[in-house]
Amino acid sequence: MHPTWKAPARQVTAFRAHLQNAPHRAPNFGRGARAFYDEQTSSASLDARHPIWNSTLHMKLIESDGKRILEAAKINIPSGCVIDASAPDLSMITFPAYLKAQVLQGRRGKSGLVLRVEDEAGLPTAITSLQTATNDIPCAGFLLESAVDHESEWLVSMEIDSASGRFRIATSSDGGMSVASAQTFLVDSEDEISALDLPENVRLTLVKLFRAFIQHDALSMEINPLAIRSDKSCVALDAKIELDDAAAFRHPEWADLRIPPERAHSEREAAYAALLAQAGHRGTLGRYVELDGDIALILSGGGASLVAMDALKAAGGKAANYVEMSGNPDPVEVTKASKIVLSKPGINAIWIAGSFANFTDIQGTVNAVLAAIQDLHLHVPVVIRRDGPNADAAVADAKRWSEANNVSLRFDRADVDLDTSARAVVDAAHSA
Amino acid sequence: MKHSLELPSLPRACPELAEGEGPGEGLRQKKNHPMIQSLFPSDTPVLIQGITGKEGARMTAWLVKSGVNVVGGVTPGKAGQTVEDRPVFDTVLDAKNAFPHCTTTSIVVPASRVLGAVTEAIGAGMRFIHLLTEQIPVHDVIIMRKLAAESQVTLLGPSSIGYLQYPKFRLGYLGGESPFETITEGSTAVISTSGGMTNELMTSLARNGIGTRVAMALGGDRVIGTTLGDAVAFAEQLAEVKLIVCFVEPGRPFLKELLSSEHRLSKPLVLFLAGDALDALPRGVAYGHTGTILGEGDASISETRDALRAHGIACVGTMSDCITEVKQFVTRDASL
Repeated sequence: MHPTWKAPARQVTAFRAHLQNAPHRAPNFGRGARAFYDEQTSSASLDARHPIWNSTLHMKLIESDGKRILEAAKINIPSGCVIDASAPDLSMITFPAYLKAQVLQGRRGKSGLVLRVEDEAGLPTAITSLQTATNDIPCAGFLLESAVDHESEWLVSMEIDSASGRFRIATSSDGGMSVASAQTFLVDSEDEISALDLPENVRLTLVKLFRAFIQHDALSMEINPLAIRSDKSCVALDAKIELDDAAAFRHPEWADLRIPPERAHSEREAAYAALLAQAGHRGTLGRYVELDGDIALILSGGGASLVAMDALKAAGGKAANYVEMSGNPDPVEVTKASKIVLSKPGINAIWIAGSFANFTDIQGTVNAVLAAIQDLHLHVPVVIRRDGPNADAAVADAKRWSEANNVSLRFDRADVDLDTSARAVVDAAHSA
Repeated sequence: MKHSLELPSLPRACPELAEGEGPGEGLRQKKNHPMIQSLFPSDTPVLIQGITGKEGARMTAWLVKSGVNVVGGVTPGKAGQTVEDRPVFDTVLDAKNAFPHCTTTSIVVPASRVLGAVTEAIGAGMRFIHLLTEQIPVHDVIIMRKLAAESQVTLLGPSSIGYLQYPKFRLGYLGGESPFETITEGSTAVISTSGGMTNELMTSLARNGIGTRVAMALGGDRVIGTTLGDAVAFAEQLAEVKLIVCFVEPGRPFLKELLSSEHRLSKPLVLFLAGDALDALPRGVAYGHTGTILGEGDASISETRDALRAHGIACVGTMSDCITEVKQFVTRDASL
């Protein structure tokens, strides 16, 4: 389904040398990334500078992967080649050209991550500059593309509208770096797109984009700019695509995508991303964000995790992290995740909090967190506010654990609200 | 990818929807997902699709224990087996033939099979579909939402922990193993995108002497069958409901709908909008639920809350404030 880039016709050893000198440019792409996680997760020291590729936290595509999808959908893209660990094929390139860092951040042009290259002689210098510019950013190599002569630039995008469950299309004849205003349309079908009051070339591009959107289980697709040439043909100069992770089971070809990781801000965030990257955690272990407070949180429930964070803030406490685990998570995974979260230095208290669970096994999940505390030999007060299935047994186990490990522990049930429990953990942190 | 061929050929699901209009005003559209018009009789027959699975079997046991009339279940290839003494059928149609009055089903099958299960349920004449399964591709949800709308079938979910009401009846896990022992009967409707917070609200209200009439967990996905707006409209037209309490997470279109709506609610609404803590976290990513996303340009939570209050809606940020606000309505109206 994906066209592959043309095999290298001529080897340019100079580029190889450049790439070998590049820091953090491990060729951990595609399927090889799986081996890379295994290496990461089994290694004793997890280094935040070597982030985890193909994380399950998002499915935002780099430009070159996005363009493979557009090309397969018969949308014109500039002739180009990917410059990564293998030698590039310059036979497709005409100069001037653009050298573009394959990173996820926006406004690449303004951040010096897209460079204009006038001729082939200027390429090595451009590569060196871009390597320096991407030193600290997860970058999946560079894309070199011939410049495309054009008369105007449009923006076209498509996303899912949560409110209506329809597809929201946005277009602007004022595409490029600063789009002032866009027209939006809500549509259900290709027929409705064909009926939109837009120039025919833009409309046709949207129809092709829509087919790709459905076929690839996309959440959003944006082409900005869409170059309009003098013969009215359209060329996608950029591609910003996000796919729906939940549909991965029917897209084995996604294993070949190079998904850059979210930037990890600490070795714990990197380790947590590695844990998520292993199979089977979808929907149970949620997002982890490290913060600078002194109260470590293990939260349960999508909604309750927000309520608990708010309650802690209102009680004057400072969270050391946000993390959420729900949907009756596997206790073994809860222990692993908790050990990462609780290994942050400077923790004065631990708060295990959630809503009155409907079907999560409270005994299993609370014991799993206590096991992590024990493994880490932490001796800070633990405040628990949990209720639901097997909560009586959870309270009994926690009391025994507290006595055996000589750790101060308070366990409240649903008759004590999250606000009260938040005040208790703030007091405990202060007295610690 | 079989669905990719189906979608463009589907006829327009909701003919009452306005055409995609010009600049920017998409959110004003009224959606009107088909909704049941009244509460369920307590002996409503219920089917469980996926009854032989781990979750299906546990759910069936809990439902039976709380008095729900589970008549049977469906798992392809397992006809003839029983779960909790209830017969298992190969297809929804077989079950429907055995129990012609059954029009309510709970779906607990793996995510990849949900679209098929929903299509089958609609085809066999189910009128109310509760969908527990999480992590369903959003494109599948869009299709099933359209199919349900075309056939005037109510779809609760995906990722819905369940539904609960008096006279005693429930679907899914809402309220846990024995909910009717911990909550009380009253005239409040509890509506939430979060399953845990639906339960939390019901039990908090009960501790404060306030009873629940009906509770719905809608699920926190990007696209859901029954939206907050649909559920609130349902509660508004129920004679048994006097007060609506709603838990909402940031990023839900309902918040913008409330702000842009000139429609005044006919019943008091207390809106618990959590998420002040999100102001300190990175934007553009989901927290807790896939639908909980604040964009770069979105207002902060406290700004949104202020705007809603200015619009005349009792919007609060903590459970204590929520209970206080509810109590004020109760004090004002003795019938609550």
